[in-house]
Amino acid sequence: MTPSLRRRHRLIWVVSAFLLPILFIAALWVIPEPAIDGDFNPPTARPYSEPIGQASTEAFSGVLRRDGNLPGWQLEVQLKEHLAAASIQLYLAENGQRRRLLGHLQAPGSYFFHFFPEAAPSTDVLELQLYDGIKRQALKELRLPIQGD
Amino acid sequence: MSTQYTAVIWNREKKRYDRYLAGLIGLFLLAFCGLTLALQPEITAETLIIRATGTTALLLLHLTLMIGPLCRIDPAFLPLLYNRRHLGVTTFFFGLIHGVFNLIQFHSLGNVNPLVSLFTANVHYGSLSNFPFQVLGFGALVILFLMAATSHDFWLKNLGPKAWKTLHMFVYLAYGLLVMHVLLGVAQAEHSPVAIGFLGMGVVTVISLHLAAAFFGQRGQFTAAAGEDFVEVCGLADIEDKRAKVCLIGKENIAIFKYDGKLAAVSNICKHQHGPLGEGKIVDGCITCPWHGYQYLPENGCSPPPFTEKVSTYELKLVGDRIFVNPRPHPEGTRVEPVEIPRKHE
Amino acid sequence: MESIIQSFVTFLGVYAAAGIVFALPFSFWGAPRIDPAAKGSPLGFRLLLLPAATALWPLLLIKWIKALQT
Repeated sequence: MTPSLRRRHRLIWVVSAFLLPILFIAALWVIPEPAIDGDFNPPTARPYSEPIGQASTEAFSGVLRRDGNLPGWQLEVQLKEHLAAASIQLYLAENGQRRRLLGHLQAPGSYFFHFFPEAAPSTDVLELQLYDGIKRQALKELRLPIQGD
Repeated sequence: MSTQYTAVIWNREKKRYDRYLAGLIGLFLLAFCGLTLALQPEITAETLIIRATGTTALLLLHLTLMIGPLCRIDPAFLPLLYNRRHLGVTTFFFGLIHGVFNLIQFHSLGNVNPLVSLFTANVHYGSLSNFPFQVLGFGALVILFLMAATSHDFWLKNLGPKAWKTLHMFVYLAYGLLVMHVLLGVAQAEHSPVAIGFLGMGVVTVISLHLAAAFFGQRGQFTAAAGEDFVEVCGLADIEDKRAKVCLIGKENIAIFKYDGKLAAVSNICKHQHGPLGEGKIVDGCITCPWHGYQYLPENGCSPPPFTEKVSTYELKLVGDRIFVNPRPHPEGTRVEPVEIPRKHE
Repeated sequence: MESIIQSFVTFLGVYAAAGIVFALPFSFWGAPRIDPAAKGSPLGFRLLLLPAATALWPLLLIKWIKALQT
């Protein structure tokens, strides 16, 4: 390497050493949206024993369950049709606004998600939204009334 | 070296290099797909291919970028550098598969041209949190394509080493784009701490290695004052047999070789890709560049026939056991009689 | 925004199409013109030139014309 080339490399990496970590941290800072359980939901989960709410549309249905011996709630979502979207994210929503990311759906089928009641924006109704993470638009919505005790 | 071009030069070392590379990639793909399928059995084949190829490309780019500074810090890594271009081209191909599958899966469902869809599916260009990360990946892939496409020696020679090197230094931009592409893509979708953690470790490793090489990797080099006819550089004992001492005097980057009881000085910069000749060895009587094996005769800086590369040569003198060099270069390929080392010093 | 991107992608398409048309004759006749070492080189090498010739065709066209004039 020639000395001038070496200087150029040094300059590039000194600048990168500042810029990349700043962008890295800034990006994590402004995307405060951790998925609840996210992709790590055990797919073979068995349904909890006690249904406390369910609703259905043509596109997808949801059953909310709990189990006296286990903490939290379990949501089973059944995707019934193939949606023409590549990245389907399932959100807990409030008046059409996405609040918490529950996880991802792919091909039609059954998916289980576990979360704590505190994560739900409302105690009367669970508002679910399927969202296209690539095109950034809502795909389908479902309102699931929760039966109180 | 340039007599006539062939498509790909494969010798025994390069074949071995490529076998190791293929083995490494195979093992990584097996581990990645196995782990993904165990954690997410419901994943579709397309998504698995997209994730596996993207991750492989990212891993290979990290390796490619780590080789340069590692070699500067410790020459023991030089064998990795020898065939780095195959590593780079492989990186591009994995990136290409990733990109094409993404275009098919994410952007070809509508009636819009997939490329237009890539740029318009998400137009939050002013926002960091919602930034269309796909566009960053596209930019990086274009750079990797240009580098892979021009990686043959034909392009090095005909675009000129300066333009070629400048083009290939865009890999650093591609790296920055890719890091943000992956970070935004992963963070916007799932915030996976494992993926973000690995990416962060990769970024820290690459940056630290490059900084370490830039500031501490100057082994065997020093600067002497300019303006004199002959400049004292080092003692005879400072140079190992068949090796060189590199010195930077003014703008002259000089390699002084000791071999067969003689001393000779040539430019430290190889004609091929500006590799550091002074970090190479004398093999079969020829200075051999550690990067790609280009060879030069020490006494005249010419590649042995039929090759035609030439580098500058310099005058040396020996006073006692101290070596002096005249930093004014002779025209490339000028014969300079090597300095004989008196027997008592050998 | 959409129309800018649409025209950019169209431009990219036209540029690439022109590059493809240029690349074949370049790799067989242009390359040996600008670099004598490429004369009589094997088919594999010539095919390997195609991607970069497609991407950099305006630059190479200038080089080829200059080589023809000398």
